[in-house]
Amino acid sequence: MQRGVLIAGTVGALAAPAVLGDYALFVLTSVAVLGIYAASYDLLFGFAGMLSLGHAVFFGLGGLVVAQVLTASLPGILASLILGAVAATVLAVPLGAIAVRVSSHAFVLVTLLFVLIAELVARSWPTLVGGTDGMRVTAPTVAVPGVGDVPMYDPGVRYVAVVAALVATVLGLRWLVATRFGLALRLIRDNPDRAAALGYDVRRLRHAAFTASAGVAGFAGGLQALVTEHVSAGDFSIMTTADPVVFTLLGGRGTVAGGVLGAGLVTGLDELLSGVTNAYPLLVGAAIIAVVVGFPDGVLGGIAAARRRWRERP
Amino acid sequence: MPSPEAVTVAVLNGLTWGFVVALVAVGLTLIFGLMEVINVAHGALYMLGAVTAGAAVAATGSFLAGVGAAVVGVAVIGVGLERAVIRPIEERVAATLLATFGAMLVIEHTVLLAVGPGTATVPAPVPGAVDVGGAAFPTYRLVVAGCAAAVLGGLHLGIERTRFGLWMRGVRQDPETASALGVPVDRVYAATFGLGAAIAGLAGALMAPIVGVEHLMGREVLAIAFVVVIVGGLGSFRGVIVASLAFTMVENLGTLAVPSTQARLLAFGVMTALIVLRPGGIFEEGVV
Repeated sequence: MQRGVLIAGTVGALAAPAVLGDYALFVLTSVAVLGIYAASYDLLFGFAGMLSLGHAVFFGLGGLVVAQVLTASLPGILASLILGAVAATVLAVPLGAIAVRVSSHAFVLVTLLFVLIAELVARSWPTLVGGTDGMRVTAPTVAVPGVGDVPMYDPGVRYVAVVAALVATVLGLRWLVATRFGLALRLIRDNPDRAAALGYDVRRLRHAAFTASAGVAGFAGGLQALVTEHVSAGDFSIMTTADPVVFTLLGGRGTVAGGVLGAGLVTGLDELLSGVTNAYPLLVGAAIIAVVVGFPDGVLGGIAAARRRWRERP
Repeated sequence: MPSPEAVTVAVLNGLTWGFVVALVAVGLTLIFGLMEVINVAHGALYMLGAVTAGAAVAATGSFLAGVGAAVVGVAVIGVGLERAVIRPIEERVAATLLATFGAMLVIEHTVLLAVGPGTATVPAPVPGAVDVGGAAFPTYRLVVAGCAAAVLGGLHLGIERTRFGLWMRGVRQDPETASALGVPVDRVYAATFGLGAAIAGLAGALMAPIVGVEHLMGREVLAIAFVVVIVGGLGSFRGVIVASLAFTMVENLGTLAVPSTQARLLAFGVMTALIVLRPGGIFEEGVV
């Protein structure tokens, strides 16, 4: 059933450029990028049980690297994206080392401290991402072997590329959480004492989850810079760091795809409402409270629960 | 080299702001120490204090009325928040954090819709300046520092010497035994939350004449408060006061040498170093 949904969804998504206009494609592309960001976060939060409020550090860093590479007119979009992911992974090593040393409650706040510092750094040194106002990022053409020059500024092309990246990320992460590493993470999430008693190095595994998810977040951040053609200190803001938390919570944590769904729901809500009312944050806030109090497993969890009840009906 | 007057002013500003931050952070750490709840809406409660004070001052002309209204009003909202949002959830870190985050959005945006964007000014109840070693320092700020320090002192005494303080300490150590001994645990939770909210509201009311009233004004304070709460040790009263003062002193003295953004960065850097050196908090009595 799930694979069917995934295939149908991918086919439908890939058919979109034929029918949708430029703006709609842009919105969907943004959702896809945020979906990758949220999926990376789900690895950390949903599967390893680590509530980090510092994910924007890595997301922003990915964008920063891409912006710097392209501004220097160095060739290779793909190279800059990979470099962004690598940079994020590298930064996550020392930051993660600090963060996993403290209690789970302090972890939340220490990661928040990281993002506060990152935003201040971004604002203080404008050469990085152009400070608060930001700077433009222009995506040149990409020479794809066998196809020729592909214009990356074309919304349809961007859309397909990013959706492909999203599908690859989701599949990759789903594979990862099914490995022994993924199982170990889930054990640590559910019962850290038992995991330690069984001989797992809890701290090292948590650190690994932190770094892995940071790398994917850096990749997402790089894509964001390309899609929106803009980076700024706002990429390191509290709201950016809260986004994946909200998305995974609403969509369903511990599912990888839940974050994508959450990103879609929130973006859709924003698009629908911004023409009608500017009470958007109020509604998001109310929605978060409602979900946390009533539906802690998010939309996907609610669907799974409903299906279970249907199957078990007398 | 900065002049001695500039240094004096920086130190006094650091003390004033440090005590105010401590007021907000103490509420956070008390709530956390007792209930293991990270109240992300705490900054919004500070803002509500400022808004309420501003409205009361505009309506009555009395700053005391403004402060009183802020303290009572925000205490009530705090208790309401605890009952409506926190009580229904089991105390999982993620759940209460997210729920209070949602509450923050709701509170901030409701205020925005009610009073509009932009910063409102509140006239300082005590005008003029005092000569401190050759520098002119606003009298009102000294009043704020004095009030905040007095409240912190009173709070400490209250926790150590009153029956309610005993209940708080007992529930924190062992809620089940406390309940078995007749302590109304639920009421202690609600009252502590209300108390934390009230002092945050007080801080907001006191700061309103200095920084103005704006619906997002709580965010900055909240960020600093979170940081000093961990540095001080989650749940540690004296730790959070020391950490608050350390932060504001570093920042204010820093502005003598570098631009304000970088001074703040320096202060955060010092905080990070402290966390690395002492993950359990300054006095190593934080919840681990």
